[in-house]
Amino acid sequence: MPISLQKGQKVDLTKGNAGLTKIFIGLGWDTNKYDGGHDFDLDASAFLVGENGKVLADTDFVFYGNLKHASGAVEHTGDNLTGEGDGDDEVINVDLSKIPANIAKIAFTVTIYDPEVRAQNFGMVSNAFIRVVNANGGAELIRYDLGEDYSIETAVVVAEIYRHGAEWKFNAVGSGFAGGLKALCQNYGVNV
Amino acid sequence: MTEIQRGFRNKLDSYFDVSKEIAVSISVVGSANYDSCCFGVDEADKLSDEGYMVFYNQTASPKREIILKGSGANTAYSVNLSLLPSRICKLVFTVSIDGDGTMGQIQNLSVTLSQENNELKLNLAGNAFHHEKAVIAVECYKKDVWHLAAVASGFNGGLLALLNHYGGEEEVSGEIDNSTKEPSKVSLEKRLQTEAPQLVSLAKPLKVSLEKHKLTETIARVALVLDSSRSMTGRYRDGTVQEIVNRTVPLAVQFDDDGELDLWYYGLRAERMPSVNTGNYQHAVPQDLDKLMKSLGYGNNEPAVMKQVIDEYKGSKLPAYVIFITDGDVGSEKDIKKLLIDSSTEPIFWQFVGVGGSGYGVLERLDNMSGRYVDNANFFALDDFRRVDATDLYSRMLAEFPEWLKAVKRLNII
Repeated sequence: MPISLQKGQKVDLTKGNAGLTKIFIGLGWDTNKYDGGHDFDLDASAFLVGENGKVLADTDFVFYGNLKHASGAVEHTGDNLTGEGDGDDEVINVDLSKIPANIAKIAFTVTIYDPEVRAQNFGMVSNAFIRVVNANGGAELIRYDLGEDYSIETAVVVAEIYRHGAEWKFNAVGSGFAGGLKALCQNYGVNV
Repeated sequence: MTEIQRGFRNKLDSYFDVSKEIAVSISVVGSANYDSCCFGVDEADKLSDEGYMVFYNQTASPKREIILKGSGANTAYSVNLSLLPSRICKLVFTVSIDGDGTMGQIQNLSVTLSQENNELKLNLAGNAFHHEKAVIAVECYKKDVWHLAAVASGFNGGLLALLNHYGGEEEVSGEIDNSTKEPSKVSLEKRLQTEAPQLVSLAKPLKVSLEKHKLTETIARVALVLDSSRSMTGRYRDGTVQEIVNRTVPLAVQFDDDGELDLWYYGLRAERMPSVNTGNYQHAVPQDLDKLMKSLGYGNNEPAVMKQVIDEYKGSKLPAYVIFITDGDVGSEKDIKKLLIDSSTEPIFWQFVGVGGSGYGVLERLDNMSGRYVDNANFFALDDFRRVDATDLYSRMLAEFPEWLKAVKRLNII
């Protein structure tokens, strides 16, 4: 049974899951069931940040334009342009054992591509979720359903994994931001 | 006043006292005909209780929790969310276009929720939309507490698409129905259920169109005219013609005084066939097609069958709704025109339907035809009759009949 989280909850990721190193982060959402309007293109990204909450280099931002982190610890498996279908819309592979020591936290975010032009926001997105799956065997460890609590935000920090001593923990952040991916990049210190 | 934008969601109690009445007003500035409707739906997003569809035909919900005030382009509702039964989880406020036009062509849509001095306002110009003919303006939904979502998105299919979307597919068991329905007519659904269960799925789509066009109480004779020219052979063999019969029978059951469909076939000659009802409709298409075609002569002589139809209904006290199926290659423009003009003083409405053909000739120019007492005919063509959604089909078939009906009543033709 995976652990289902509420917004703001924090749980152990590695503690109690001895030997867990390779995980994948699945993110999913449903968009427009209506006619008209632009197609939705939602993008999952990962920000690898240090103790100060900022990236150490611009390449610590893993997204559709930089699919693999230099360390090999984080790899985005590619952009899904429509968000159609059930299950994960985008998947990010994480190898906990390869995460450089100076990375304290990885934030997983979902942003709407081109939100101003397409006049879109998270108020139009439903059933968004994030899940953490053990890549070895495929067991779902953690799941966080974001619910439909979002409004006119264009970016959501869905969750973070962070170091806690020698272990990793998971934080169901679920915070929405205006300003899309650009605002997140600024927040995490990525030069755009 | 707080301006909100599309996609906005928030708890309603941040702005209003939800135990009291909230006014929801919806205004459209544009040149089409606009209708507004409020659907009160259940947890599954379905209209399981039709009493909670508040629109021009039903201006209040059962306990007056939702009351419609005004109509058309300027609609207002008075809503008391706290009085709604717990099974109603969402109120969906919609705007749809009746007839031509799209939401992309409007100048402005504004939705205002207000209570005393507090006001939330959503304002959108036409460029926020595209080809939608129906939009969900806002939704009030219950998730722990009541929330507002400024959806402002919709469907290209109009009110019918909305009804499809929220349509209470699941049959509501006994408790609600019956008492409120007109006692004189046995419900179409029940009649089909007992007499022709294969057709029962057509009851709902038809009912939607009937309500939409205010035809639920209409009594009319219903006729079906089938083209049996040789080019129709494919349509007979692939089941299209049987499907036409299947979809027409419920109309006859609904409208007709005796539940029968008067049937004609025509080639070069025309022939009246035994009337069709729920008992024999599966045999309305002859087994021996070649024999039928041969006996009626290879060709299509529309005037011949039109004359027979006119003779049958001339001077009738009941209106006659004639569904005329052709696959095109329509000639005899002068004769057809003359018959349409002559029959425009009779209680006969011609609904021509083209199926998978081309060259519909004069039928395609009906709208510009002059000389008639009233506009007594409509035409549309379908590439594949079988693939048209029933709701859509009935909506098109009944599009001009109500106006004609009004006109002939006013002119004392019936």
